[in-house]
Amino acid sequence: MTRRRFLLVLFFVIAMAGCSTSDSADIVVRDAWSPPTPPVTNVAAFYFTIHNLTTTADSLVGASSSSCDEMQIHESVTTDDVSSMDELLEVPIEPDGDVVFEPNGLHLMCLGLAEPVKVGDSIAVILKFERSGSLDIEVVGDDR
Amino acid sequence: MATSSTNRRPRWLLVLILAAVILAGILVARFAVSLFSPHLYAGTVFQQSTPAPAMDGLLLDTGQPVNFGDFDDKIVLVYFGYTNCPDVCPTTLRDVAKALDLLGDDGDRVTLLMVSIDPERDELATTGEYVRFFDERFYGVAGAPEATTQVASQYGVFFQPSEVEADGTYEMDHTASLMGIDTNGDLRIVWPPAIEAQVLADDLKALLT
Repeated sequence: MTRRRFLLVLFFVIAMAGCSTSDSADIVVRDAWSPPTPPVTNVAAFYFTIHNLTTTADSLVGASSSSCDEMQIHESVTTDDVSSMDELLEVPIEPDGDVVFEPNGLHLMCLGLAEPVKVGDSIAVILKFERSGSLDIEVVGDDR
Repeated sequence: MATSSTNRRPRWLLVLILAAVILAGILVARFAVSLFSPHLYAGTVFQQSTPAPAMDGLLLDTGQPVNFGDFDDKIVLVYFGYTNCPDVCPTTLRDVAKALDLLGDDGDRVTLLMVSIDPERDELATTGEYVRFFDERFYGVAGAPEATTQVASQYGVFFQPSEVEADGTYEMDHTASLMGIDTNGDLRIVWPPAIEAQVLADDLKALLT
């Protein structure tokens, strides 16, 4: 009984140690997608959800991709039915918080898109965080 | 004993029949209300008939001038957008395409015109190709900057380029409402930006009946 409890405690100690040494798990990006884009345009918008798994605030400060000449963090804002886009230099992510990039809101704008995005495509993007550094993600072409 | 039991039985049956009649009444009343109560539109409906402003000086990507009588008794949706728009315009066009798909065969009784509010960059043919990527039933409309400004103001649409960047790229700030012209050529309804596909489909279905 005591030996069993000891093993259980040992298991959790090892598991927690494993978590704290893994830096890449500080920030997790899920559900990264892009709608397919018309061939006549060379802009695209990428969407995803950022989870901050730490107890420290962080910020998304930039992004890059070999598929885009330039990437900007944008937010579509609609006031009195007029839509405009604000370029953001950083997007704060609260400790243990989520930030959702979604249509008609926050998005990564890709300028100078190399090839149109098609359903099932996978686009490599590097997100840059102020505290956690760079994170490689795959944006998937999705006709949802 | 025997008489009291036969007396009791019809009374019990009466209560049951009464309950069934009341229930049936409620169901019929609810059905009648749903049948006759008007559809509550998500868009803003014009009470008076307002002829849709002419699109003088602009062309459809078929090369023809825009004449709302040419659309075979279809509802004509009008959206002012541009092809270098990454988020709001493609999202709206996708949602309109989804709404038409939700309507099934009735989707063929609706079309969309995207009027380019970026005449400096958008060619007429490009605008048409752009919108038909989302739905083959859509048309592009474009023309000279002066005509574009004139038509947009007639529709109450505002647009202006955002800050131009070092490499010359810019985005457009623009009214992102969706408008609906009925089969009589009257401007009937205006939806706010970011209308959901199902909500739009419900409004279109009501307009088509």
